[in-house]
Amino acid sequence: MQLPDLSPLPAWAQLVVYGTLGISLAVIIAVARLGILQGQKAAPASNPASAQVAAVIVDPTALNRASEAVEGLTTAVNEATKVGREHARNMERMAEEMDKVREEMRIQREVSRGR
Amino acid sequence: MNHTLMPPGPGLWIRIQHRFGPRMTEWALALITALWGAVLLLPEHVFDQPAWAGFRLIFGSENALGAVMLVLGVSRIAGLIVNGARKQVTPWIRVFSAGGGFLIFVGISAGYSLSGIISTWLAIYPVFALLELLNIYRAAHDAGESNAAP
Repeated sequence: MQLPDLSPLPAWAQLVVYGTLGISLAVIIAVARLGILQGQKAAPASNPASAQVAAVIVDPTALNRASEAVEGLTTAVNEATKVGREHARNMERMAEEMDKVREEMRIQREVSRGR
Repeated sequence: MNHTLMPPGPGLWIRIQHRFGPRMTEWALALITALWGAVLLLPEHVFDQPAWAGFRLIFGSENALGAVMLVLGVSRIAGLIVNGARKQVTPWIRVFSAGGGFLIFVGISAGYSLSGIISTWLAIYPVFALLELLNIYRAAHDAGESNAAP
């Protein structure tokens, strides 16, 4: 097919055709350029946070392993808290006993002085 | 043999199906382009209708225009099939074909507008041109994202 011959068209119509073609090409280039720039901004490599999220979505094994580790750590911390609380209770009891011993010794001293 | 093409198997079809959804408008507009050309190739003298005066002035022969449009539409469909089947995406094929599609639909709108007849074309082809702009943007976005941009 030959290229369209626009010479029979009136000047204004030729202007419309060429103008439309020019503007259309400019719009195509502008939109493509904008798309490329936005795409480069959105690329996972340009955004470490997105890359990490993408990596987790692709392979969640590491996330699952980390969740299990956190669960184990929580159990250990709960156990340690329980032991600590028990220890504090025992210390309190021991202090009470020592106070009783001290009181007993004081009474013994007073009795021996009175003799 | 091109190594970017998937070896025969279900993977190729799955990939085409997977990519079909986001590229639905590209498939539809490619089909519309091909059918538009096919309609012009029918025995009916479409260019004799008043609304086609602009096309008659610019292109002269409706069969030639119909054949070109049919070839462009089919080529675009072929491009989309190749693009959907390839393991590595080739957004530039889509950017160029959507750019061509934009020119086609702007050209059709301009052809109708030259006839000076206001009709339903005003509600159809400019919207198709806008859809093509969206396709260009999305394909170029894919190109930028996959670092395929120059």
